[in-house]
Amino acid sequence: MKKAVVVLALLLSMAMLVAGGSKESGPVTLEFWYENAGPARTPYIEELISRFEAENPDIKVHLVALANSEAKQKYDVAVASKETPDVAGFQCQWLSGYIMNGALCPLDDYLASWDEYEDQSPTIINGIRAIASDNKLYMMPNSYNYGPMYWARADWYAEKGLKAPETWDEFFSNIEATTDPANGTYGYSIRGGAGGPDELTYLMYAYSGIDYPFTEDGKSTINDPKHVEIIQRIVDLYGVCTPQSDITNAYKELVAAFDSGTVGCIQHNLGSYGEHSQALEQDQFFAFVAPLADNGKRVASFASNAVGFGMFNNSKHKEEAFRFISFMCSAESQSYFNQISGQLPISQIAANEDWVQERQHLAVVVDAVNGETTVSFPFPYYLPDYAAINSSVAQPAFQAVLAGQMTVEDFLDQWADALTAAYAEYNEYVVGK
Amino acid sequence: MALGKGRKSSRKSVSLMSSKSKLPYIYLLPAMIFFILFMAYPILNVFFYSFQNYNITKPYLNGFVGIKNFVQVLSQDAVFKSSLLVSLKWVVSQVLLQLILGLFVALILNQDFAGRGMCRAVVFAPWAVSGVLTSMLWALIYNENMGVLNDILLKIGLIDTRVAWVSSYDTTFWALSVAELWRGLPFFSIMLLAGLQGISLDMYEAADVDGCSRWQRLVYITLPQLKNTIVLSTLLRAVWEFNNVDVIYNLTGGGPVNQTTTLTMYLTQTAVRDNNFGYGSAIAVIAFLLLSVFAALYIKLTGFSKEEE
Repeated sequence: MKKAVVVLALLLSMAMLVAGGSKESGPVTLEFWYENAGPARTPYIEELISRFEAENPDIKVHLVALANSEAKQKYDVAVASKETPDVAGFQCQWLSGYIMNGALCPLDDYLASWDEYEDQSPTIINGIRAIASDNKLYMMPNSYNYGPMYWARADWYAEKGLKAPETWDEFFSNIEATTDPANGTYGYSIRGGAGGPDELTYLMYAYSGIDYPFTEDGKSTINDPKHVEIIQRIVDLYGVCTPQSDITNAYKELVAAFDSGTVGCIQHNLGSYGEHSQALEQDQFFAFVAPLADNGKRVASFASNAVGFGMFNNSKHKEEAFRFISFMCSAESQSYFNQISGQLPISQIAANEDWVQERQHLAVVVDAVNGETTVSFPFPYYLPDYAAINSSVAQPAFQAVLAGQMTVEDFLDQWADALTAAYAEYNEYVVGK
Repeated sequence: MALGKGRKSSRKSVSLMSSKSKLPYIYLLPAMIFFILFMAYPILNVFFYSFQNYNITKPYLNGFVGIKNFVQVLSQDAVFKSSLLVSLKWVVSQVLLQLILGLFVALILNQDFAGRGMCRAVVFAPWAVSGVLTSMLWALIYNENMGVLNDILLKIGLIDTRVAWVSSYDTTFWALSVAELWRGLPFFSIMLLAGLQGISLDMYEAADVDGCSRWQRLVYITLPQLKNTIVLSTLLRAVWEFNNVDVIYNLTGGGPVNQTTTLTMYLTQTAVRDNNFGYGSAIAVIAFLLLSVFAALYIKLTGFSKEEE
């Protein structure tokens, strides 16, 4: 018996030595969750990981590729159970809750060691900092987007002698001109389902030229009369210049309607370029940005409309995690990835490369961003309730408007009340803390 | 080891009896551990959170709130009420339609005819298809512009304009119902066919001798003999349909305007999408209690357990 105990103890100690030894000498493994997986992106993320591992033999990256529609829910569960990865991909809108919860680690302490930080666009970096009440940077972006922008059928527009609209009246007359219900084709498609309220928000502020989400006394500006006007014009298109099924349209239905040749124009950001270019010939589609507002301003979403990478506080390998993040956000990686995803790089070196100006959809957005009267709208993504208000209040209410069960005024008042209440709560518990 | 070896001390026999009485519990232990880990703990956890304000994005408001969540759900939440009604409509229509059509299919498949094996395989095939695939398939069929349903109906002149089957107020619920019926029908057909094959042929022969019609054979022999199968399968199906999310989530996302938001969909939206786990847990507890009361009453009223004894 005694012998057996001694043998067992020896075996255990050897096992522990082996285990401990391998931990010391072997490469560190980083768990990385990518939030927008799919055939159009995952292979290129995998390629970047291979390049990183080749440059950093002491680090291995374990990729967990998540579809965009389910990624946030997985993150929520991981945060609630404290089983977060080391590094993850984020959209700006997701950050606030995780910052509030203390789940994310600010990157500021690591930035000094990264020589490419100064090369990143200050407009975008400041837009992301504004999401945190402590003004720290919790996500290093590698791509940014723009809204509201539109994809239109170049062949349809050419056939009717139309061009990208420069006024809002032209925008609507183009839609009417390209509608032909007898042939099952429509000039426009509305996103009535998931993600619809975000697109509506871009549209409303672009139309009104209002560049602040709340008044000084804390009231939401979303129910401004100008917003009622533009939403009414969109609602009037429903069922006449759009398919009936738009009421439940989410991303994939919206893009499918455009790519299949059912509709001539959709409102969507740069991210759908990959799908359009796979389904259509390059000369069959083009991008344009929303016309200027009556006050001459171009109010758009870009400074806080980025995606990138952040690290969770639970990570035991923060130095290595930041090395990976900085590699993914280097000029070379941004250039490689954004050329494929069709989005814009944050790195100013990458942004000045020829491919940005050579691509119509990117050039038109860069011109808009650099416009003299362009203002990046400060979306209140810092509100923890922002996404829930969009999905639970705005989305069903907008569907009720399309179904003729609610007026546009009531819809926007309801949305404004929810935002005003969320802003007051934020000021009381977070700002006033 | 010492059993049956003649005289034993009383102390030894008490110890043996005691170890014998423990034996069933030891056998049950692995199952109990799994039950506690994967059933009891999560259920109790949901009960615990239903009395909490728990939202991971708003930690400053988290904490015990007593029955506030329940009061809000039951007295102020209009979506809860509408989703409960949608759930009831969904469960009743699905279970009834699946039962009636499933019985019809099972009766046909129980007959002797050429190609019966292939027909059975075709009828049972949808059961092997996942909810997500079912949704994708029906999304294509129902598509307003490219869907085969609109094409056929236009060609035969039943409709003049294309219909948005899963987006229109008038059609969305029934369009979802047909998709779910397609998937759920095989379950009843399999269960009832198995039940039919267990009925003694002597009873039908005796009925033939007595001059019973087909209808009388169905009402007085087949249905009473299938009672236990019907009770069990309708109970299981009712619970599953109540908890169904996949087809509804993928085809309509609960829209338009919450028209297809069932209680389970609402729970998913509240807890998982909007991060309000405390409030979502209160809805889950209410759904759990509703289903438990329904199951107990259903078994009692149908006398299912009595006959099993």
